[in-house]
Amino acid sequence: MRDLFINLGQKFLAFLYFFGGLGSLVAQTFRWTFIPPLKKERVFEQAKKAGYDSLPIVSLIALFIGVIMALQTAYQMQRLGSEMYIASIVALSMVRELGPVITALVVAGRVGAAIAAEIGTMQVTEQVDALQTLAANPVKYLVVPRLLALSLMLPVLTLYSNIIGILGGYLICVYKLGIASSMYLQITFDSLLFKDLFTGLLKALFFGMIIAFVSCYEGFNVEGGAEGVGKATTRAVVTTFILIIAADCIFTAFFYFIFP
Amino acid sequence: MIFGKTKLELKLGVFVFVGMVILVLFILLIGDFQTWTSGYEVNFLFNFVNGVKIGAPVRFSGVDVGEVKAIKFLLNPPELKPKVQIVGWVKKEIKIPLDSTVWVNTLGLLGEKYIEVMPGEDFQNHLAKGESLVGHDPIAMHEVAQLAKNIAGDLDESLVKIKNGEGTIGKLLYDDTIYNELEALVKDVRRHPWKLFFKTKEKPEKK
Repeated sequence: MRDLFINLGQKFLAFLYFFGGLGSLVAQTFRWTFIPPLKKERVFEQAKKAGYDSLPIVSLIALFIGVIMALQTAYQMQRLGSEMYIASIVALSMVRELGPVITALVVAGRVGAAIAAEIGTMQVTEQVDALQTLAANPVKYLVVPRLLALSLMLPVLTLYSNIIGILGGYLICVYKLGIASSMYLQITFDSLLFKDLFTGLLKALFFGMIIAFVSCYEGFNVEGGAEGVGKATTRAVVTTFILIIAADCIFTAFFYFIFP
Repeated sequence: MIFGKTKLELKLGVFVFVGMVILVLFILLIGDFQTWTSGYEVNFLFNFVNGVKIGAPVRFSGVDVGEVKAIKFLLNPPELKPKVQIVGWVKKEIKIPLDSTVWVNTLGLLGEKYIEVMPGEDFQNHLAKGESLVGHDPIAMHEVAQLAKNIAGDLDESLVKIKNGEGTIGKLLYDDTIYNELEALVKDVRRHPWKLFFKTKEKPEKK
């Protein structure tokens, strides 16, 4: 019984340490972001890894999600005889919710894990210490480019995934359910508001930040050898997933209750 | 350092450029291309608008030609009764005659409200920018309900009377005197059809 409480207390302390450490990393990163010089080619390199290289898989998954959404909605809508609304349901759920979240989850699995493993290996092989010896701040050198790249590339990727998801719904509705092509597009863009698009993109920006910060944090906190790197990578991905979904919940509630 | 030379920058440039194109596409399609159609604003005055919202369509002869831009209260000092001023934006080529009828209509049974403009006859004089047109107030739902309730009450009263066999219709339905009389008459006529033609028989008896 005593052990249980000690265990719980330690877990809770570890949780608090995690948030404190993450907060400290966030503060340092924002400070270093605005201190010149900013090495642009490092940002571009990370942006290519996070954005350009993620595009095929994000597109593929967005297309599938669009098709699935259309089919699942059709299942119910055909009973009610209102297939017209599939277009607006697919468009709204892609742009407001699924576009940003699916993109963020894919990028977290693809890029977040890579970042955690990369920085973790550097930490284990003492390259991070070497950077400090060379008077290069590791936060500025490693975290700032990744933060900028991820937080700027995720909204762009989300735009791609929105349009491709809508295309997926379009394919099903036009070629399977026989809805007129112009009708589908008309309803899609009639049902969307600027607010829907921009809340989605804002979410994507924050998801990008979450991925960058958590992955870098876990990478820097690696202890032990190769095993530690593996554990840190797993932890980074799991924590990022949880935080993305939690942040999404908070954002959605925020936009639902405060800016309806 | 020279920018814009490497393959990496080219790939990234293409990626971001296409992303921006998608963004512009979304914005233009969501915005309904209103950015490059020009129009003007006119006012419609109502006492009651039944929940018209900003962005509700304005229909002229049943065609969407604009939307509601703003809804204001207009306080008239002499009357003290506030009027609702609906600022509607309509396309430039649409000319609303001054004798048009304007009312708030509903899309479907419970659908959204919109401003319906039925054009008048006088196409020489039309509404200029910023001018006002007084609209016909929609009937409030509770008034309709009240009317229906009154009608139902009256009907109910009559039905109760009819059921109790009061009044002409009540007696017709529930009192079988007439039926019996008719039946007797028909039987009598059948038995003695000549009665129908034989009219003058009774007269001599009386005499």
